[in-house]
Amino acid sequence: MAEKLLEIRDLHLEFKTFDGVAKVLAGVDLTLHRGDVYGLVGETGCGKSMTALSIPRLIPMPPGRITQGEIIFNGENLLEKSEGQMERFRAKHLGVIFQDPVTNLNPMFTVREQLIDAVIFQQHYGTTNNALWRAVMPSARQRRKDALQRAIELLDLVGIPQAATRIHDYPHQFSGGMRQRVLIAMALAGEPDLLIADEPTTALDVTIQAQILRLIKSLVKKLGLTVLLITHNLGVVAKTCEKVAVMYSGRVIEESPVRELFRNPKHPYTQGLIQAVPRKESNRGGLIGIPGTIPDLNHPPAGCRFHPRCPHVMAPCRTTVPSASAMTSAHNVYCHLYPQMDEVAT
Amino acid sequence: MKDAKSKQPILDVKNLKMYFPIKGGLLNRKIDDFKAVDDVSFSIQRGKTFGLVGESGSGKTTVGKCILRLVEPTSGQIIFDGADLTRLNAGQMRDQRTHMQMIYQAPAASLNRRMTIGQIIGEALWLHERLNARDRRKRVLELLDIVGLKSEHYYRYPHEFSGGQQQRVGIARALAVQPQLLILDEPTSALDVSVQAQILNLLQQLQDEFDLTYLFISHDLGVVRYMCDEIGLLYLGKLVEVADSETIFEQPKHPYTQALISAIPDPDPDITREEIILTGDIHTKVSDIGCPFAPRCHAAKVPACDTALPPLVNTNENHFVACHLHLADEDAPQKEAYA
Amino acid sequence: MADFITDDKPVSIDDGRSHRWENLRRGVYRFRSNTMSMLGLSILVFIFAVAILAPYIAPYPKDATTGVNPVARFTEPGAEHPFGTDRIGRDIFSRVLIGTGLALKVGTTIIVLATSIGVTIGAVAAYFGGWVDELLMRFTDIFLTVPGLVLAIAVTAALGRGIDNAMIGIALVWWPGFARLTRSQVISIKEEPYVEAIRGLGAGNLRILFRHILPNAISPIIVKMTTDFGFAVLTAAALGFIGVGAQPPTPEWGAMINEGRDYFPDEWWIATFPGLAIWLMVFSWNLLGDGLRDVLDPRSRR
Repeated sequence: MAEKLLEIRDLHLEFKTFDGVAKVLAGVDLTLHRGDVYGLVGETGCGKSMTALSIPRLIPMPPGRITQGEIIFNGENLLEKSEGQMERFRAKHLGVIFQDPVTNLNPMFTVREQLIDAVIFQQHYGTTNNALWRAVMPSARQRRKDALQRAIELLDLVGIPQAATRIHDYPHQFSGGMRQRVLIAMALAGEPDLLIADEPTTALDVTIQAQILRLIKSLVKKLGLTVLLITHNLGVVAKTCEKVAVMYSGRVIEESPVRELFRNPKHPYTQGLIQAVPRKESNRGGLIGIPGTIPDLNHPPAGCRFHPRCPHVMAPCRTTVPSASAMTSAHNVYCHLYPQMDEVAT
Repeated sequence: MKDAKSKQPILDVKNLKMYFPIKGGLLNRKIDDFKAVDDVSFSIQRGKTFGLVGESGSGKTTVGKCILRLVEPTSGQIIFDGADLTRLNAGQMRDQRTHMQMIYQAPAASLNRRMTIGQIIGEALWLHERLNARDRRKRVLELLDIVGLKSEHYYRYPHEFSGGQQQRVGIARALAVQPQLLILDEPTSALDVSVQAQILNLLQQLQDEFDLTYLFISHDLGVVRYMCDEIGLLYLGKLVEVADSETIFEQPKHPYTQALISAIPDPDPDITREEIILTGDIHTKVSDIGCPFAPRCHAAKVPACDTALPPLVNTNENHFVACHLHLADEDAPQKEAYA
Repeated sequence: MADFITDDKPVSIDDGRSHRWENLRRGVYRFRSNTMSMLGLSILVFIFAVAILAPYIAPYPKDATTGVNPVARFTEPGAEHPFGTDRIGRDIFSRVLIGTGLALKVGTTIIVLATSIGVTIGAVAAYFGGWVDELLMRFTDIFLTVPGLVLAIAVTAALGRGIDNAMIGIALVWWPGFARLTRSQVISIKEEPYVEAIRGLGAGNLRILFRHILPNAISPIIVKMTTDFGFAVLTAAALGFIGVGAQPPTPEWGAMINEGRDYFPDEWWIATFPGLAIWLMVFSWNLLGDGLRDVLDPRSRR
């Protein structure tokens, strides 16, 4: 098995709001190995984006607060780093892309200027010793020249035709799909180990979505990237990822290799989610939704947070948080329907 | 009786065009037209669902707004229940409008956030039938029940609801005026899948219960397949393929339809379809005379693709396609134009 | 149309008022968490109290109108006259106190007049668009091209000197700001799907504009009314200062500064205390306006 790149252990995150304290993450466990394309799925408010943004520590604190847990990347606990160390770490090891390719580019500057800045910034921080960097790079002019070269290579890498010319254009001269490619290029500027993609195709049309997903897959092969893909779309996961974790209301409730999850979903929520997608064989009126709504994070239900909506609810579900049950070596489910590995009381 | 009635379409859109002027130059004169909807024709039978599918920028929402005359179409006819809506004056249109209601993509934005749910639905009733306060409240509570909300929601404000519940309020408001046709503009694209399933099922129940006709506008082919009897695909304001739902998915003929279907991410990793990845996007430069899809087309091209606009013709048993490839190889004796 | 909202007697369902109350409580919470806006509100409460109580607490109420006391002229601030006296021996403390009510009246009149004209013109222009918009907005521009103070002076001079005409003159140059603000608000709101939906239900223009668009456009207008209040008082004082506004012996702060001008800096108190009163007025309304912006801004709303 490949080496462990990222391990999130028992992560708890709270947000202070007018109505009280929202328990956004309540014990998230997640392990990524080098070379994984890992999907994190769930519906609005399940905490998938919050989990992902906890890794580069991009969550505003306050109002956010991590109360418990650790995030271990290559053996280092990111939560123990200082702000300055974290900045260097992000530049060197992480790339992040977001849902909206429009607001994440500055409309006042050309792509060249923004991309060169990204390259210089990330390489500068990538070299831990500032003096060494200066010695290697004699002049600012030379530095920008090299950065431009690198920027064009990056655009080429993400499949923008005529990169050397297009780089001089402003963001509005690119379509949504092309802008997302530019953002991917910026994220890759520092040659990151891990690419975090937060709903990267949600704002795009299906034909463009297919292009971007194919690009991400090809980058994984070409660069040996590890990808954490956050999405609400089960189809995107099925098409792109090898492993997947399903989240519900601040917890991972099932994790498994993709094929196994779709063929043999174990958690009632996962089953409901898969059934709710309209597909070829759904008959009129035959689509099954999940009754009820997601829990209020300020007053989450005790025990398994899915129990008020669960068709198989039993007594322990109302009081005890289910721990992992191993279905196969890589398929874990957190549900009382299956034999618990250890009992954890809330 | 029922047969005779069902033969006559409730909505018949003929040669609908919606051009927006592009202004420019020194005097800000009109220099060109942006053809948001270009010669679109289709009809819907009473009680059926017609799906209008396309990517953003295809003009599908504009078609819906033209039918309600929320924007004035440049030309064409919209025949609703025998009357041509484009010929009505403002007052007549106002009477007709309540027969057709729209459900919006963003449920929160479609509700006045300063009014309670009771006021929002009640106002529709007041506008429609001038019901007094007591009857109104009774009807609102009935409508809340019909769409699966509770009476305790009466005094709540929209922001206290989840997206799915807000969409139910929007549906209840539309039903308040007893419409015959609902224009559903991406009604579930802002919702989570588990909630989407609830809303889609509700829409189907309501259709059966009130004999409603739906124009279902969406970019999500999976949803459209589940909901629609007949489907039309729009590309850059033009219909490129129209057929019943089954045919579109089992035997798509237009290269764009084929690409679109292959691009749906199916939640089943075992389905290994041949994947067609289109190049470019909907803004890719189009020539004025050729097929609008030609620059992105993956199929074998014929010379006509770049020089002539393919007409929408019946290739087989009400399967209409606008593609030179199917114009050339079909040997059907007469190529009747659609509608 | 009017009966639509007033008849909401709860039948048996949960009480709607608790939800309205909840919204209000959120607003108050946000307002109170802002120290500066609470300070502004406190000063204003104090100012209003002074305005109401002035006739009773002022030591020499007569000095606000006809009183003359040549013996005590140019008295320095002290126990007898906390703010000193002016050149004819009037008690400045009493005049500043009694002038508070006048300042509030001036501010209210100007803002109410300007808002009514501005909101109506801006809303109509934005809602109907086309040539109506063009006509009304070019008309508004005429007012905006001439410097406000100059125009106000001209209008007031034409109508005749005096505080009432000054208020009319200032209101006439003040409304274009409200017209522009209202117009931009209405233009963005009228494109919202809920407006389209209500039109689709057969609602008329008046109902759409007044029941559905304006209530959602009102927050920034209220904020502007609040912040402008202080400046309206300041402008009225400016007119009083140059002599076209309030006429002596009216205890109007601007006119009082004018009277004290000749004796500055030796008899500094004559101009200074009315000046401080104006400053306090402008300052407190501004603080309140900023606080309201935080509460009413829909973007910060949950």
